[in-house]
Amino acid sequence: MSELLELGFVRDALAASLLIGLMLSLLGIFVVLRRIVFVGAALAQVSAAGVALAIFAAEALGIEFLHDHPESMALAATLAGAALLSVRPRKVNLPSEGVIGVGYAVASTLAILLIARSPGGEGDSLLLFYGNILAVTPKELRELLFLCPVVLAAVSLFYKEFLLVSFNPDSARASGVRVGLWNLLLYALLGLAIAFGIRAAGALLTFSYLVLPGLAGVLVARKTWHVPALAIAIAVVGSVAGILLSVRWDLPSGPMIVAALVAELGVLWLVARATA
Amino acid sequence: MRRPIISLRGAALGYGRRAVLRNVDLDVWDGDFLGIVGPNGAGKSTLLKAMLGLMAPIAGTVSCAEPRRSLRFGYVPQREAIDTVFPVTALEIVAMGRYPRVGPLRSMGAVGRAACRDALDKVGLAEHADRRFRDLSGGQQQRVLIARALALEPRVLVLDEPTNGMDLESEHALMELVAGLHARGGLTVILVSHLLNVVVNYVRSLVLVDRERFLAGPLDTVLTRENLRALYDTDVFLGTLDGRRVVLPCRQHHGAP
Repeated sequence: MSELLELGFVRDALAASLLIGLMLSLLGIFVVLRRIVFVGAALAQVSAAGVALAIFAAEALGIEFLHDHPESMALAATLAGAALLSVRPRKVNLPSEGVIGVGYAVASTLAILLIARSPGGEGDSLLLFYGNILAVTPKELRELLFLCPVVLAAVSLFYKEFLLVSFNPDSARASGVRVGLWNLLLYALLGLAIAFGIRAAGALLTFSYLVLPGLAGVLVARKTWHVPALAIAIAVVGSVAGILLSVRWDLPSGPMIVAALVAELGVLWLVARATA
Repeated sequence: MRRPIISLRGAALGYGRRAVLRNVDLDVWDGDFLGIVGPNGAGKSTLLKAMLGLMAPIAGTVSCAEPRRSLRFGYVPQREAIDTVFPVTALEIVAMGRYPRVGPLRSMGAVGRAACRDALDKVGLAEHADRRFRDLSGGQQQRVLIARALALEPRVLVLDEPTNGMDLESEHALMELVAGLHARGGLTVILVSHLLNVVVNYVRSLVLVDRERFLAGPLDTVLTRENLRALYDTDVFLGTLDGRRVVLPCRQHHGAP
């Protein structure tokens, strides 16, 4: 396997997947705890809709910047989507999953309709939804190198606040905690990590990093602090195994990492059942 | 002199534009033990959410004598509202109740940790501190949630259906615990329940609520046969047994003149 690591694109892919995995596996704990796993899928679609909108607007309005940097629109759309999804509709008594479902449907439809009208057509859409981690660019890697420590630091510093507002928001709100503000910060971090994750690794891998390690951690952990430790470990092992096996067996890297994460989840679940 | 800490005036409460309760006038007095009783779906939890500031009134006003933060509401939600998927221990759940006092970028500290241990001790679960919440019995889980509210050192303890799903013995023990906290700590207690027979033996003030009907006041004023007959649409027996208040529906005599 060591000869594979001598290949530059493999090292870059491994570094990118580790950085994305670290961020999303940690954030995924709150996603699993809040039972909003589809927020990852919804924000992925919002991000895709942002890129589609940038491509469409660049063509229709002749905005050169959007043509060269569609990711800027994806980032803006994802952050706006994250802010909208963070608002709990208190007056209409609508569950969070309902809001996320509406967001997913609207963003997916918008992305497809805009792509249908863009010059690139369906080819662009495939590129948006199934980005290849092996094709990660040095610029994307630099962005991830900057973003990852920011997300990790924010989660570490505000872990107890995120846990508090995720665990029982009504109790937190009743005791004077600004739940909306903490939700907004958590969702903003989610939006950033998802937007950059999709750009470098595609929607499938991003969604999987967000859900599978956190879920495995919660399923298997015996103590609270085991949850983040396990989630991160699962993401790291899945990334390394997935990338190396995909190169060796000449299979797509993203789905191979997902397969490794699923395999880890399955094994850990069996072990947890056997030792319960 | 006693003063109201929460006041509702002409309040219409509900979701969207649909009011569950209308024309609600209510004062919650400092140091009171207030019971809110009514059938399932009567609007008890809606009233509670409005008092806690979790829901704005559709019409009228809900006001507090002081900023809500200084009143420190220790809210004990229904046990089912707590997700047991996370492997948190009893002490960690209680610590979460303390977080609002700690604030961001600060750790709990020795005082906070002692307050959490003390809260668990008050509910009689000191020896269960390191057990996982999901492994505790229903009654123990409810006590942990009360300890979580106590860790905030609240001035107002608010409990939403705390005895739901409990056996008779656990129910009695929990109510004695809450009554003790009220008597010893001078806490204002607001208790929501559909168990009229339980509540009337502990509270000082009573709210009877059933959508269109809303009665509030001192226990002896509100707890009358006439009021209960109007609330439950049936004649009731109201008396005492072994020193405890008892409310029972009267037998229907079909065909009797």
